[in-house]
Amino acid sequence: MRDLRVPLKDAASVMQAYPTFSLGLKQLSANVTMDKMTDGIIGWLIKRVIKLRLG
Amino acid sequence: MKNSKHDKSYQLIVIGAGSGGLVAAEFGAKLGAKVALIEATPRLGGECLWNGCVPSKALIHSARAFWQSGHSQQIGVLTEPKLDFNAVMEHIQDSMHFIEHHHDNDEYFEKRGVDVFHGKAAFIDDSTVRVGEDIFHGRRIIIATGSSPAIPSIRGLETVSYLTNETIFSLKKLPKTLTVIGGGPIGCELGQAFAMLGSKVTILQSGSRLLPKDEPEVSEILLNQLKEMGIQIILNAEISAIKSTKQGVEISTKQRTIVSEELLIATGRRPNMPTGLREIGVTTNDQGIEVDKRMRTSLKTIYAVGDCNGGVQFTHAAGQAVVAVQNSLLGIPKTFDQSSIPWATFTTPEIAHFGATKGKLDSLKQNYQTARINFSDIDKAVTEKESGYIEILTNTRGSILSATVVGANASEVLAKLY
Repeated sequence: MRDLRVPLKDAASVMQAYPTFSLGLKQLSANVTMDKMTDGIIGWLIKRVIKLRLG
Repeated sequence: MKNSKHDKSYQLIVIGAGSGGLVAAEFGAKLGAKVALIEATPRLGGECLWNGCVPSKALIHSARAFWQSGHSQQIGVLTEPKLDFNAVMEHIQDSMHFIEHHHDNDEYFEKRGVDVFHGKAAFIDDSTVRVGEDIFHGRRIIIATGSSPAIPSIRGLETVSYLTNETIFSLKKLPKTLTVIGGGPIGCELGQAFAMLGSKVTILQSGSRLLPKDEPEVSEILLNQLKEMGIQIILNAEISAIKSTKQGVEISTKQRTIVSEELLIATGRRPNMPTGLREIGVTTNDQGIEVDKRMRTSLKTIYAVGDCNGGVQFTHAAGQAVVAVQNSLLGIPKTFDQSSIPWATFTTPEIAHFGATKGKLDSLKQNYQTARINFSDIDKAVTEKESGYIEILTNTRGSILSATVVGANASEVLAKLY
């Protein structure tokens, strides 16, 4: 089966989409990707980077 | 909503709560940043929710249903539909308020870690903005203030009452006659929708064709369809004067004079600029705030996304916001590619496109091959009496360069390619 997640750049680009039903599917994929990305060790690392860069 | 008079410090400040601003704020908070979202108006959602995509699509849905129910004799359906214009407008309002209550509201964003404030933001320096008596300090600032209707300079226009996309969805009665200045997507969508509902519509287009950013064949198909529906189209229109008369608004063009009950201005957009932006040194031009491909302005702490930077002006270009967040918070050198962003015009026939047009590829001297199927070769389209086509341009290796879909559900079909 195809992985529901999409690459981050694609997740980003479809967070908002022109008003169609089809792009709801892409938005769903984007949401799943975002949740995976911000969970666990990756999420912790991202927060550390932001803290180090911006205080 | 926060009302503290104290100074507030954030890792990211987002100014403007339309499509770009909401995405930036939510994405920033999701990544764990401390985010403030500042919106000039009392409600979130911006142009798309309140004056653009949402109300226009709701109007078009009603208009198509009304039109089709009265034009289905060919498939054996004979009806005499009646229109309740107030109910149409209620449907539009209901659609907007459903979306507002569902996810475009303060509570939704505050639950996701975004501090929401309402008030007009004015820049003090490259990391500070004032909102009323509150001072906000941000390590990074994303401007997403959107755009407003551009009003052309026409003699007498300032003396008459006219509609824009900001006011047309508040009409109390269906105008008997409507003149639309502008033959771009907004003018064509709204003009056709009102014609479907029963208004006698005239569209004045200053250029030689409708939808000038689309393929010429598309413009021709739409022109013929609109004419068939009884819409009067004047191309290369040169408007000399506009004045108010007892019968309504009188528009004088080189070709003829038109009098109509209502006048809609749909001649493009102008960027909304926050106060103090130029004074602190951010470079702007006539199109908007200048940005590079990473959405950075001339000041390294400030980014600009969406309509205010004068780039592609679509709701879904809010993807720029995510590029700006990645650059501003994480320092990832992401860029936003505007070259293949899709768009759709929700006329009948519906039109959807992404990538370069044939004219653009020709001007770049780029070789391409054309793959095309007409709706007459698609059995489902034949059964539903739909006409149109799908055309895909590829390079010599077969990679898709661009695509155009014309016909029922074109936007949905295009989504499968993009």
